[in-house]
Amino acid sequence: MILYARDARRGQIVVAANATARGLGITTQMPLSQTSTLCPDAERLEHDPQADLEALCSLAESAQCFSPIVGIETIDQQAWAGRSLHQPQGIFLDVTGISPLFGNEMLLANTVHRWFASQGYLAAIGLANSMGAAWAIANYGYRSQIAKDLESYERDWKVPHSYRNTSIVDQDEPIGSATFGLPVESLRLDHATVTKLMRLGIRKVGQLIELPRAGLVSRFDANILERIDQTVHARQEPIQSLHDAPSLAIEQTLEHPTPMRETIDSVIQDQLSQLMTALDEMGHGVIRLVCRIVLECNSISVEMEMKPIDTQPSSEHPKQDVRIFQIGLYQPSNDPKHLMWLLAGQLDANLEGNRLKKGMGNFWVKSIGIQATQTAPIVWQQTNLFERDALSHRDTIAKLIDGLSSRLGRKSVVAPSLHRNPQPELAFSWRPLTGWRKDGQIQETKRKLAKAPKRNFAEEQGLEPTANEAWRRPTRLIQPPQKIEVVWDVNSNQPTAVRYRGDIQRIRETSGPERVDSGWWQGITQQRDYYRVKLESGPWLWIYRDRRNATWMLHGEFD
Amino acid sequence: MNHPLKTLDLLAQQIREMETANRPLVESIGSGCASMDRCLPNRGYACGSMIELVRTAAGSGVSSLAFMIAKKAIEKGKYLLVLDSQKQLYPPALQSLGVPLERVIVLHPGNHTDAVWAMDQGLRCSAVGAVIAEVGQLEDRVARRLQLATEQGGGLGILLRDRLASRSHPSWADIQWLVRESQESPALGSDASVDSPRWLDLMLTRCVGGRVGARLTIGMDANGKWVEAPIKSKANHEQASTLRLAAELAKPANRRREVAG
Repeated sequence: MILYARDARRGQIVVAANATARGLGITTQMPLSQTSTLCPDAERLEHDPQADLEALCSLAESAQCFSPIVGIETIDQQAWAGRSLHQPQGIFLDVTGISPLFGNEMLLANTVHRWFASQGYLAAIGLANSMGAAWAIANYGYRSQIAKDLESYERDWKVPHSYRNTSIVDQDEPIGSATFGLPVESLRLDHATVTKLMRLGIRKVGQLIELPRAGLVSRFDANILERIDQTVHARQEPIQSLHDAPSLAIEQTLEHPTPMRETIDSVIQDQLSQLMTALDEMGHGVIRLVCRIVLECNSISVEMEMKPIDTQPSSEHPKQDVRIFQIGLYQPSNDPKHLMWLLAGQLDANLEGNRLKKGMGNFWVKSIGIQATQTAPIVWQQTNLFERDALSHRDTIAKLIDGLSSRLGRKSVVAPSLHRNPQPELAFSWRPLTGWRKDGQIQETKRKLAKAPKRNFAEEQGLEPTANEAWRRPTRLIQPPQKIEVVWDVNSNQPTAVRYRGDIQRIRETSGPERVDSGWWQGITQQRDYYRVKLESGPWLWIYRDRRNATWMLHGEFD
Repeated sequence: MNHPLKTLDLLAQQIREMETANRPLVESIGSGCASMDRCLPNRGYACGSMIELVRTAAGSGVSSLAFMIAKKAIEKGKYLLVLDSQKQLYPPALQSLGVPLERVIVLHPGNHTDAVWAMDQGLRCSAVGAVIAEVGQLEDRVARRLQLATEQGGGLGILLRDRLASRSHPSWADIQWLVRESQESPALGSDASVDSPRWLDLMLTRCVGGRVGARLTIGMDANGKWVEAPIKSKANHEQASTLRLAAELAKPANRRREVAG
């Protein structure tokens, strides 16, 4: 399996490959066309950065069990050297003072490692007293060992139980000495700087430290000193924590677990009103809200049903499962009804009717908590006098889009965008209207619900027919095109009858042909002659003749 | 003695009030086409009403008609919601019909429940000018729910149906048009070039608060504008209606059923 992404300058390049593909010689940053020679039967999928960001953010939310201050790594404008994808891939946890709770730091690292393994991820962990050093160690500290672990993980789905790679910076050693042996990429520098350093022969951080600092500033970017300080000299940098203050969280544990949906709804409603009162006093509104539902295995019903699988007696601590629902908003809001509506949409999708979905088995709801993980001040804006209607419609429609996306899914609420491509099926694409910003920090509905495009007068005044006129393109496109039987009249060079929906129907009128040739850079060249035919019984069809293999296909209906 | 035309107007007014008793007179959105507006009560589609377009055969221009009607409803910054369960919508065709694509939102619901819920939410929203959806069969309570949602939201709900589905189930729409491809093109002396307009025959089969049975032939040209049929076919229209009246007098039971919907 290969994941590829579209690079503006180089076309489609590989960003990730699984163990089998790597074994055949596929590396990242390789053009996709090369992979067809190395590995012809690989499954090629387009990389979805939004899904990655969502998974990372939900993982970060769950990681709050170790520390209240959790953040996603912030990325610069330029991609860092050594990274194939320009997106956040790591999580920062502030564990000051937390290690005594786990024993010592080794045990903390082990617990974290095991927790990530239980979530299905292989984690590379770095623990240090500055963020830069921790990042450097986590990413570049034990690469070979982690690569081996990754291979065994991919092969056998097993994660090594204890964390064997340890390099914890002791407090009496000179700070940063553990980073001296690391490569230069561990400083989070961009490609140009790292290439220059490599050319000068500087490969390790230790070598870079020995150079005079003034000289570095004049030859490289200004931030190289900042990065050195952050990594080696333990200069503190702030963690962009995912949420503000833990006080905006309310959790309620029910005395007896319940399966009833109305109870859950009323509890959430109460919690929302409480939270909103607290936010009102601050003058803030919610942008991201997380609802955490802890489910407990209801051991009483297990015993009554006498299932041989669950033989837990009720005196033991029952099994627990946690479900997390997140909602994100376009504008800060502290209207409890609106938030309840958005949450209800997600709960509807996961809980059937009034009771929990059957897939959950005997799990009943034990505690419900909501937390406003991101808030922003509510701004009262003076609206523009003449655009008042349009602006108020945009706000209302953004709320509707939020609600629809949270129930139907992000990819199901889309807006069309057109491309200049002669091949009809590639002339458009759907872009989802909700999304995450590239650095994963703020989730907001796309604020730019598109504005009206500027008119292109040059195109409008053409005398020749263009593809943009009505009745040249069908309103329904049948993807993939279906084969169709066409009776061709050699004398008039036009089709005379087609087999449509079972019977042969005569054609009343034909217009065409319109020749469409696609470019060689888009894959196999498509050479088609399109005809618009009007049948006697009424329907208008869009059929084409593929010139490469002389077959007739039905591509659309002018409904 | 009252003038007979005045009596007719009074009676028409009374019938309209009886049929739309639960809804006060609201402003109406014109369809942009004068001959279509003439067939409708209030000279246009009332805000908060449901329109059904029934196709007699696949590919008979029903979707294009829906988009042309919706185009007028989404002026002034409102949005158009399209429910496209089969994922067959082709946006470049919408652009050539003149629909502003920056205000079009397309939904791909996975199942019928989600589709109905999404339609309900969309119709309720005041910023949505029109919702276009392909429906097969709607249960009564679902149709009633959608009707209430449309009234609340003040937009247009445009439903596209097949003839078989509409025959077997009663309709809840305020206006129902039966759409058919026109067999002869009424424009005189036109050749079959690509740019000639597309002609459709419409028949009003259900109209709350108005008269049923109007037929009209309307065209949509290559620039996404309405084209009126020339005078010759208007005479046909009047002729057809007098014939129809005579036929209806002969079968009173039929007529009553149509007016009551």
